[in-house]
Amino acid sequence: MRSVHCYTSVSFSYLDRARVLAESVRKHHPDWTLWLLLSDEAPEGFHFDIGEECFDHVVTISELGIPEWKQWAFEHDVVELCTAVKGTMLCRLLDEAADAVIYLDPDTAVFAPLSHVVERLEQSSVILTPHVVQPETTLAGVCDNEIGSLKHGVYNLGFVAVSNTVYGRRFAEWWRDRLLKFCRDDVPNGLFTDQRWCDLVPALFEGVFVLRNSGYNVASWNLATRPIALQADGTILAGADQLRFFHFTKVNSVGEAMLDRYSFGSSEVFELLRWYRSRLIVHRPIGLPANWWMYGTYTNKEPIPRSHRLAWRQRVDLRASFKDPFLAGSDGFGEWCRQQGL
Amino acid sequence: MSQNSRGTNSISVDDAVAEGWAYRKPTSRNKARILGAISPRERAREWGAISTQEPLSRDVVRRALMAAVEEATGGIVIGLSHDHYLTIAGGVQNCIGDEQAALCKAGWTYLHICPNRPLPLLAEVVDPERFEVVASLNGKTLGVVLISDIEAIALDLVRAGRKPRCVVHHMLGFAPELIARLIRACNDNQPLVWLHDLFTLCPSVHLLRNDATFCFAPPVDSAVCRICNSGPDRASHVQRMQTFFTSTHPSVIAPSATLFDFWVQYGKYIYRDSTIIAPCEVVFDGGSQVFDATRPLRIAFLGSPIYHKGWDAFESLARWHARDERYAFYHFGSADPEVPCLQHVPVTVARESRSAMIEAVRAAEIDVVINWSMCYESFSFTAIEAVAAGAFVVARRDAGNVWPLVRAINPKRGCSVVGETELLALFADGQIFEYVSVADRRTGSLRFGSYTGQLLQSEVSNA
Repeated sequence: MRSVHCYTSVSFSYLDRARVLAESVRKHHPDWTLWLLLSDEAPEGFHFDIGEECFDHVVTISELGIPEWKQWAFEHDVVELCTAVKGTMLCRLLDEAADAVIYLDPDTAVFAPLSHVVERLEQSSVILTPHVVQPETTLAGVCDNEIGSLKHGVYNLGFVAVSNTVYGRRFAEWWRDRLLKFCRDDVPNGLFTDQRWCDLVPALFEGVFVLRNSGYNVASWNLATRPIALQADGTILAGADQLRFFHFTKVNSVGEAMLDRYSFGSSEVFELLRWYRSRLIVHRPIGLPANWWMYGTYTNKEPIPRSHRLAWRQRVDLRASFKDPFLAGSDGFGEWCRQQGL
Repeated sequence: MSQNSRGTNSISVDDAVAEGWAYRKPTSRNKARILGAISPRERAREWGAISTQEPLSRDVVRRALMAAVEEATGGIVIGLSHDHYLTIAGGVQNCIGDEQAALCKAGWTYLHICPNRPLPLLAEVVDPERFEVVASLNGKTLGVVLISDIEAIALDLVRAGRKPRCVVHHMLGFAPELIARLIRACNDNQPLVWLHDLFTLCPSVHLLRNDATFCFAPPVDSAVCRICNSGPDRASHVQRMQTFFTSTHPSVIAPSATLFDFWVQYGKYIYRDSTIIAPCEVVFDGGSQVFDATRPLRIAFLGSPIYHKGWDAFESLARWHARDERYAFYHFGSADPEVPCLQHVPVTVARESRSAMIEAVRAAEIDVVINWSMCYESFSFTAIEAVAAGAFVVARRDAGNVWPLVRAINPKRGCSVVGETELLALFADGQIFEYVSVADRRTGSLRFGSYTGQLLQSEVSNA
C-alpha cells in the first residue's frame, strides 16, 4: 500500500484526544499522512497552529464544499456534525489520490501496527470492525452489547478503512450522501449517526471485509470477550490477539463504569486508561474554554437547544428566512423558536 | 471443624464486609492504585533535600578524611547509596551499617555518601560542582559536601598511594555519570556494584508496573513499557546504566542467585564478574515448633502492611475467614492495620534488635506465615525470619527469592502458590493443614554477614 491517509474528526474540545491518537498512529505508521477534520472555530485568543501539531494537514468544515454549510451544520449537535462530515472528507481524500484512507475516532489510540488492515486493503474495498465478534455469555452482556449493537449498529464506525478502488469509492460516495441527509441520533427511527447505515454495507457493496481480529477496536462493549493481558515480553493482548487499537469511549464519564463492569475484577484495562489519561493531560489544549464548540451556541453565546435544531431540520421552508441560523437577535432563528414555544 | 458456611440465614451488610465479601467484589482491587500512579519524575517534585546547610569546604572534608586515614590500618572505602543509612532504617541501610562496622573494625576507613536531594529516579547530569551529597565518615555524619570535592580528595589519595575502593550500593538520586567520574578519580578498576533490587533496570525499583504488578522488565520500546508510569523515564535510564556499566566494568554483587540470574537475563549490562553474598543465614538451634491441632491454625503476615509486600491478599484472606474457627490471623509489625478479627503484635526490627521479629513470631507459636510480596524479592528478610521462627511459609511463586530461599533450606519448610485464587483455595478447603502437619518446623536464629566487608578483606588477605 503506497499512500495511506488517515483522518479523524473533532471539535476543539476533542483536540487532546485527537493529539493522542495522532501521536500513537505516527509511532506505528510514520509514513501515513494524518489529517485533522475540524467542525469548529477557535475561540478568540486561543492559539492553534497545525505546524505545531502531530497532524500533517487540517481541514475545516467550511472547506469541505458542502452547500450552505452553516445552515446544514445547524441541523446537528456536536456528535452528529463531527460524524456527518466523515463521508465528505473520505471522498475528498480519495479524490486526492490516496491509495487508501483510514478513519479513526479521536478517542482511539493505536498500540501496535494496524498490519492486518494494511494487508487486507490490497484485496478489499471496505473494512469494518463489529462491536462484538463473540456471543455474550451474561444477560448484562446481551443487553448492553448485543442489543446495543442492534440499536446502534453492528459495526463501530470509530474505524473504517477504504481502498481507492471502484467499490471503495462507491461506498464512500454512498456514505457521504447518506450522512449529508441523515446523520442523526434517532435510534427509535432506526438511525444512529453513521453507524446504522453501515449495517447495510456488506449487502450493498462488493469487497467488504469484516475484520474480526480481537485486537482491533477493543472497547468496553467487547472487553468481556477479549480481556486485556499485559505480557512479560512487552506485548499487550486483547483476547487471543495482540492489541492494535483501543477505543476509549467516554472514559471520563460513563465509560469507566462500563470498563469496571466488563473487566470482571482484572486491572489491566485500567493500566491502559491510566496511560490514556496521562497523555490527555500532556496534550490538553491550553487556553481552550471548557466544553467549547463554536456551533453549540448562538452568536450571543446562548446554548442552542436540541428542540431548535430539530425544528430547523424539519422546517426546510425556514431556510429562506434565516440565512444564518446561528445569528442571535430579534430577527434570529433562536428568537423565532422561542416565540413558537420551543 | 467448622466451615465458613452460613446456611440459609440472612447476613447483615456489616457482617458481610467483616467476612470479606467487600474484598471479593467483581471490580479490580488495584484500580485506584493504578489510576493514581504517576511517573517518578512527577513524584520527585514533592521530594526535598536532606539538609539545607551550605556544603563544607574541601579543606574541612580533606582534613577529616586524612585524619581518619592516618589512624586507620586498612584500606579506604567510598560507599554510595540512595539515602542516609545512619538515620533511615531498612534492609539496604542495615547492610551498609553492618558493612561499615565490619570494615571499621578491621581498620578500614569508610566514607559514605548519598545525594542531599534524594529522588525516586536518577538525577539529571549536572556539573559535579553543583551536586551535593551528605557525607558520613566511619559511622558519623560529616555534613553536606560537593561531589567534586570528594572527587578531588580521591585524586589526592591516589597520588598519595592510598587508592580508595568504591562500593555502589544504590544509584537512586545519583547521576551515574558522576559516580563513574568518582570511580575514575579513585583509579578503581574493579568497583563493586550491589544489586539490592532492580533499580539498574528501571526507575521503578521493584519493577511494579503502574505501581501494581511485577512486569518482568519487558523491552524498553514495548507497548507494555510505554503504558507504565515509569515507562517514559526508563529509556534514558537504561541507556545511562548501560554507559555506566560499560565504562566502569564493575564486579557485581547480589544478595541471591535468583536476583542475579534475573538481572543477567533482563539487564544485558557489561560487568567484570559476580558474587552472591546472602545478608544472613539461619542457624538452627535444635528446637522445633509443633502444631497443636486442638487450637486454630495461627496464620501471620510479617512486616509493613503495604500493598507491594502482599498485604492486600493477606487481608482479603483474613477477612474471608474472620469467623472461621479453623484459623486465627496475626500481623507482626510497627503499624496496626486495624482489621477486625486480626491480632496485631507490635514489633519493630532495628539494627540493635535484629531478632525482634523472630522472637515475637516464635513466642506467638505462629504456624503459617504468608509471604505474598508483589515484588521480585532480592533476598526476603521476612521469609528467613519466618523460617527461623519455625513457621511454614506460603510463598507467591513469582515473588523473586522468597520461595527459592525457603526451598533451599528444606522444601518442607513451605509451599509456593501461583496466584491468589490458589491461595484462597488452600485455606478454603483446608489443604494447608496437610502441609503444616508434615512440615519441617525447626527453629533457629540469624547469623549476619558483613556484606562487602568480607569480600574486601579477603581481597586484601589474598593480595
